[in-house]
Amino acid sequence: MRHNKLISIAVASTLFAMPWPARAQTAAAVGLEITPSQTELNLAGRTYETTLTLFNHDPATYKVDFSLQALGHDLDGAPEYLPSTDVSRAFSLSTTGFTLSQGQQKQVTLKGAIPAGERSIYFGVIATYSRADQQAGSSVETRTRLGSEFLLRGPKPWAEHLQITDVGVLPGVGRSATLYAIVKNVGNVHVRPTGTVTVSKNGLVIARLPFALNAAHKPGAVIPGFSRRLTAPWTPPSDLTGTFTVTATTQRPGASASKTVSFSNGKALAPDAKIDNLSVQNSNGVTVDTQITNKGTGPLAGAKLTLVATQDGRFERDRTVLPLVSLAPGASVDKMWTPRSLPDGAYQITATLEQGGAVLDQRVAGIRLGAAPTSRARGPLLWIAAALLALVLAVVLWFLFFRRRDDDRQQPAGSRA
Amino acid sequence: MRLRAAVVVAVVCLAMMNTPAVLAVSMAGPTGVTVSGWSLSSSGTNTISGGTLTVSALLSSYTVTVQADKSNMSEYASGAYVSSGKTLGAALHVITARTGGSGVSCNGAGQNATVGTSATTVASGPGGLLCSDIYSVTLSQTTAISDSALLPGHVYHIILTYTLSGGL
Repeated sequence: MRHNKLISIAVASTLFAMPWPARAQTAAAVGLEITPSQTELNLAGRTYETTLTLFNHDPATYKVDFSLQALGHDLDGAPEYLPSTDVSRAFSLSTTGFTLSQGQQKQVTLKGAIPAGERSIYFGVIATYSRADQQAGSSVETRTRLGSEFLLRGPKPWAEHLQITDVGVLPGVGRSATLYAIVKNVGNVHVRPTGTVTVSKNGLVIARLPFALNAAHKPGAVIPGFSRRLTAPWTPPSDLTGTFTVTATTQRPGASASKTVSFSNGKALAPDAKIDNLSVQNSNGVTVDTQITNKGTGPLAGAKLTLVATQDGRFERDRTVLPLVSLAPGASVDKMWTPRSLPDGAYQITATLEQGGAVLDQRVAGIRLGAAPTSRARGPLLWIAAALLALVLAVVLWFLFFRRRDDDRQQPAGSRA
Repeated sequence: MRLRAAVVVAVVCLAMMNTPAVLAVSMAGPTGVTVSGWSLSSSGTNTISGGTLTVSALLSSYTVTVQADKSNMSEYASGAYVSSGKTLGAALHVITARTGGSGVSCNGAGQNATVGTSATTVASGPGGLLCSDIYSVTLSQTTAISDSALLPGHVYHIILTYTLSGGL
């Protein structure tokens, strides 16, 4: 019996102390697998450590290289990995890479802390992999990466604040439309807002719809400093004509905004344009290229494209506003910008397309100028520390169980209740 | 004795709960797919297969993005880009279409992505248990008469990077 308890204590202590990977080999897994793919935690302190596991399900041998990048997202919530000096300084990986043959799995340990003065950190561990025998193609080469996202909130107090920067309606195919609110996280931790959007006229509500959840059936995340479009699909009545008020209201955190929109026989009369691509390159100075397409049924007039260069997502270094005089339906236009000379560092270039106060699209691109700061890979110290922690926990638990029993035995029988 | 056993079980359960959330994503292809000697016509739309892409996501939605090392295909010779070389006027498009997969509700969707150096979504889906989505990948490059023909041994070149992530 005493041995059973000792084993239980040892197992519990080890489970607490060791950075065990989540063994979640995907049932239908293919190619290269990473787990966990997303970690969202509220930490009691600032430090954090975990282990990621990579499985190779393919017959090929893969060479895997790891890197850390800041995590952001575009207006539709697609993850964006951006170079960041802050993340490289705050977190490190136990290895920079390894090879994985068929059926093999290996771990990489992530360790670090939310920087002092910050309440959260958002980054991705990027596993770039290629076949060991991969040849370079003369026309097109292909590379592949797996991203493991980390959304870590530190100790409170948090500032959970949203700003609704635009509300409106996007015309769809036929009479279909998408009601939307563009929310910007102006707090210091990520939020997953819920909310509703209403269409009304003279106080009479015609439609009230909840904002759609993301594909994982939870509200989409909005990372500090980034904007996201919350949407609600709607089919207006076929006779809907005139001007109406669209009001968006969010909860957790709360915010509200309204705007007037127009419909004609159930068809939303609103511009629809997209930033098709955004490219940032450094060749004798930074150049930004972007292409914009008018996806609407009418000409796009009076729109403007704002390009902002921000160092580490915090310090604005340069910006420009490029007017778009007029763009016919279906037409595209290329815009180019050369920011002034930027000092070495990690930069985000944010492109925002607007017309008359309506945000039509937004994209973010990243670029690093100069050499990246080196991130130290850690050796076996992690495992020694974990073993010591397990030993300490085992001793504490031993005291709790066995010392208590010894004390019980030493007490005179008559003193027991 | 029962109380102690319960405490031990509770401690073990708490320890197991302490492990990270069990989310996983995996991707097969188009790793290593290379396109060599892509003969582009002087004007019009040129398409070629970019391979297949298979995605599996456990308990998580997913997004696959594509980004390039250059904004447009650029002149390349002897294993390197030509300094101040020529570039095509139009951006490359990566078009994915779901061609199969497993699972009942695995309805991932492909997209037509205009390639740039920033990430553009090329496929996304809800994921789920025993779920996989298979996509065909087509590369489409429009050329115009204003695009320059290159010297023998020189080609227009680009590096595409596909990234799979869980949905935010």
